Amino acid sequence: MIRAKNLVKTFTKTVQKNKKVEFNAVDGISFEAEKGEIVGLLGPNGAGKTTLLRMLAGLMTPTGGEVSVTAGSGEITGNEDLKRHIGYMSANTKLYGRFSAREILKFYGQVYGMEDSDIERRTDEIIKVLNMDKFADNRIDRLSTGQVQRTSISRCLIHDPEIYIFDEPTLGLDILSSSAIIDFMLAEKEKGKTVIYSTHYMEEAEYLCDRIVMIHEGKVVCNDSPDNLKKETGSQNLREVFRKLIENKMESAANE
Amino acid sequence: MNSKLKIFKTLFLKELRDVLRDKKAIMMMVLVPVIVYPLIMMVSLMVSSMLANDKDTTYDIAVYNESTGFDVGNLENALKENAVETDEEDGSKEQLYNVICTVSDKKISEDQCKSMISDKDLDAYLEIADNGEKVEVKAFYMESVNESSEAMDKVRRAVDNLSDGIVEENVEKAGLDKDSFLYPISFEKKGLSSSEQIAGQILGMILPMMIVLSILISVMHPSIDLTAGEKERGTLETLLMLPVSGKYIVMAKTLTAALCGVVTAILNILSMSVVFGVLFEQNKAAGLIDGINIDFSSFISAMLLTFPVIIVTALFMSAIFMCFTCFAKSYKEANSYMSPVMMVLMFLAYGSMIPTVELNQYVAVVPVLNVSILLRDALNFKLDYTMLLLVLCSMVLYSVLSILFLSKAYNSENLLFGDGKNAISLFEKRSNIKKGMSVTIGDACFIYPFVILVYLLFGTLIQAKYELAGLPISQFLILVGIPLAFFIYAKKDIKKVYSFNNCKPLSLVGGVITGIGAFFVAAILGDIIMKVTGITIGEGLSDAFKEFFSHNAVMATLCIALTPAIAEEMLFRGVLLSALKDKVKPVYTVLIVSVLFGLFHMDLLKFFTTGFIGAIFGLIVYYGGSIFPSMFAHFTVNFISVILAKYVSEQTANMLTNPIFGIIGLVLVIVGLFIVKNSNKEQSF
Repeated sequence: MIRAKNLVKTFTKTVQKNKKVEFNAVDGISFEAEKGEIVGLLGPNGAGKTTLLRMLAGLMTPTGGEVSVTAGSGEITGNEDLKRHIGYMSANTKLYGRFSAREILKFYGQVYGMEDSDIERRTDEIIKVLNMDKFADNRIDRLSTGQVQRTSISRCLIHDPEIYIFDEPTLGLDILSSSAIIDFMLAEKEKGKTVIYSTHYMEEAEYLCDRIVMIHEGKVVCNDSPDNLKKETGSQNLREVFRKLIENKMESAANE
Repeated sequence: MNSKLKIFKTLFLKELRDVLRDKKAIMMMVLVPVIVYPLIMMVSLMVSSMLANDKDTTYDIAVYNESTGFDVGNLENALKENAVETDEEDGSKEQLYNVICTVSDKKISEDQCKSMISDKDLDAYLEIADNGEKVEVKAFYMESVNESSEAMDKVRRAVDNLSDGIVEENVEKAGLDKDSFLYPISFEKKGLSSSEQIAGQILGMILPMMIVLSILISVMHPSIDLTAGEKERGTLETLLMLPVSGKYIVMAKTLTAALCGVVTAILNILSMSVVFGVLFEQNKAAGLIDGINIDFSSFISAMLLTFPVIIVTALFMSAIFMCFTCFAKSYKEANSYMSPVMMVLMFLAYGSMIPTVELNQYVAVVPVLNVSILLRDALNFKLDYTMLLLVLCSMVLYSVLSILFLSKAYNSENLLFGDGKNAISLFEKRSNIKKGMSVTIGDACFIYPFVILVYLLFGTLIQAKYELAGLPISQFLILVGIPLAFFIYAKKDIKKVYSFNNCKPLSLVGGVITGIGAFFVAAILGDIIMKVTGITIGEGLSDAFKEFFSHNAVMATLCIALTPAIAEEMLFRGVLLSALKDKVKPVYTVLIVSVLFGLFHMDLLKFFTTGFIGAIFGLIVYYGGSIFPSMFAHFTVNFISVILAKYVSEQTANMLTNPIFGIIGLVLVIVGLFIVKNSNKEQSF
C-alpha cells in the first residue's frame, strides 16, 4: 500500500529577468492506493502528475507532507529501501541504447542485490510474459517503440516490486502494444500488486482503473471509482466527467 | 559492505561496457594514440628530412663589379667550395647545393632586382665597388623570399672567407705569425652530460605535455558522454531509480572515464616508444648519429613513476570535467562548458616546456602543471620524493573534492530535473549529520591528502621558523587539529575514531617491549636496505635531525619522542585505521596504513623502516583494541633514537647492526604483541 499525505512540492520559476516566483506544482495532495488496486491519475498537462509520481517513487523530496509505503513485512523507511519496492517508469526513464534487454535486466537485477541464478530465472519469466523472445538479445537502439516500451516495463519487473508507478505507459503505442501493457497491469493487479498510473486516454482509464484521482493545478479534484464519478456528474463516460470537472475548475478560476 | 562493493562493481562495469560500445570513445582512446600520433610524427620527420637534404636547390647570384682590385672568380670559388661538404674521416665529398654566379655588365636597379627575385630568376644581386682602400660589397636580396635569404647567407659566408684570407695574407706579409696573432685565444667546449641526460632533457620537454594532453583528450569524451550524454538520452532518471546512493554512481562514472585516460596514456607512451625506437635504430644504421649510445633502461624508474602520476591525473581530469559537464543538458552544451576548462588545463600542461618553472612546494599544488613538471624532473633524473608526495596528495585531494561535489550534485533534484543551478553545498548541513558515527573511508580519503598537503606546505615553514618547538606546534595543529575540527563539525564519536579505549597497564608494558623490539629490527632492516641498494637517508633530512638532536635532552624527548607518539598515532593508528578496519580485511588495513605512514616520512629509506615500524604499531592496535599501547611503543622507538643520538657514540650505535640484535628485536616484538593481545580479551577490532 502506498499513501500520499498532504504532499507539497514548491518550485521557483523565473517570470521575468531576475524575478523569481515560487509556486506549488503539487499543492497538498493526499490519496492512497491499496493492494490489488489500480489507481488512475488524470489531469490536464501541467497539472502536476509527473511531479507527484516522482515524489511517490522517491526521485524527488517533497517540500511538505510525506509518502508512506507498506510492503512485505511492514512500513518502509528510507529512500533506498523505498526504491526496492517500487517499479517506476515514465517517458523520462529511457534505457541504455547500447545494451540488449537481457543485459539491462541483468544489470538492474545485480544492483538490486539479486543472485545471478535468480536473475536468470526471472529474466526468462519476464521475457515469456511480455513476449520479448524475438528481440531480447538485440541492442535497444535498434528496437521499435513498442518493443522499447515492453523492455522498459520488463526493467521495472526484475526486482518483483509490490508497487508499480507508471507515467503514461501507453503513450504513442499502437493498439497491440498498448493492450499488451494493459493486460500486464491487470495481471499484476490479480497478483495483489498496487498500480498507480497516469494517462490521457479516458477509455483506457475507465476500463482499467478501480479508482480515478483527477488533479488540477496541483490539487485533487475528485477521488472515486469511475462508476461513482459518472453517477455523481451525470455523465455517460469518463471523458465527459473529465470535461465537466476540469472545465468547471477552469471557469471558476477565470471568473475570480 | 561486501554487497555495496559488488553493487559498485556492477555499476562500474556497466559504465565501462557502455563506453566500450561507443565507437567514438574507442576512436579517441585507441586509434588516436596508436595510429594517428605515430603517423603524424613519421610524416613530419619525413618532410623535415626531405627539406634538409634538398640537393637540387640552385642559388642564382648576379654580380656587377666596378672594383679594380676585386676578382669575382675568387668569390665564385669560395661560394662553390662552401657548397661541398667533405667528410673528415674518409674524405668523401657531398654536394649540398648548387651556386650559379653570373657577372652582369650593367647595374641592375632595385625595382628590377625585386621583380627578378620574385620571378625566381635571381636569388641575390651583388654590387662591388672601390671605396678608397676598401672594397665595398652591396648585396641586395628579399627577406620575405626563402631562397633569397638563404642565398644571402651563403654570400655572406663566402665574403667573410675571402676577407679572412686577405687578412691572413696581410698578416703574413707583415712578418707576423698568423696563428698567434689572429687567434690569440683558443676555445674548445666539452659537454659533460651523458647521452642519457641529454635525451632525458629533450624527452622532458615534450613527453610530459604529450602524456597530459593525451589523457585530457581521451578523458574528455567519456566524461561528457556519461554525464550530459546520459541526461540527453534520458537514461539518468532510470539510473536514479536504483536503490543506490549518488556517490556510487558518480564514482563509477569518474573511474570509468579515468580508466579510459589511463589506457590511452599507456598506449600513447608505448606507441611513442616504438616510433622513437625505430627512428633511433634507423638513424643509427644510417650512421647519422654515430657515437651516441643511449641506455634506455636508465629511464625505467622514470617510466615506473609515470604510472601513478598518470592514474592521479586521469582521475583528476575526469572528476573535474564531470563537475562541469554534469550541469549540461546535452552533449553540445557540455562541450561549450568544457572549452574554457580545457584551455586552462592545456595551458598548464605546457608548463614542462618552460625551463624556468621549477617544482617547488607552491608549483606542486597547482594541478596538471605539477604533474607535467614532475614528469620532466623524473626524465631529467632530478626527482624529489617530497615533491612527488606533495603532487600526488594534492591531485588526489582535488579529485576527492570534485567527487564529493559531484555526488552532492547527483543527489540534487535541481541539477537532475534541471530547473535551476541552485547552490550545491559541498558539506552536509550540520543539522543533517547523524551523531556519533565513526570515520569512513570517504572521510579518510579527504583527510589524509589534505592534512599531508597542509603539513608539507605550512608545517615545514613552522619548523623552519621555530626549529625544535615547531615540531610539536605543527604536529598538533595540523595532524591532530585539522581532523579533530572536522570530526567535531561532523559530530563523530571521538572515542571510537581514535580508539581511545581503556586498556590494562600490562598492555602498555607490552607496547614498550614491542617498541624496543621494533626499533632493533628496523635498524637492521635499514642497514640491510642501505647496503643492498645503496639508498641513504636524504641529506636535508639528516641535517634537520642533527639540528633537532642538538637541543637539550628534555626538550628533545618532549618534541621528538612524545609529540609524534601522540600526534602521529592519532592520525595514523587512530583516524586512518578506524576508517579502514570495518570495511577492509585486517591484513590490508594494517598494510595500507603503514604504507601511508611510510610515505609521510618523505624519504626513500625511511619509507621502508618507518613503514615496517608502522605495521608493528598497527598490529598493536589490532591486538590491543586501544591506541594507548601503540602510543607507548611509538614513544619508546623515538626515545631510543634520542638517547642514541645524544649519549651514545656513533661506533657503539653501529653495533646495533649486528644480526643478533635483529633476532632479539624480533623476539621482543613477538613477546610484546603477545602481552598486548593477552591483556586484552574483551575488545578487539
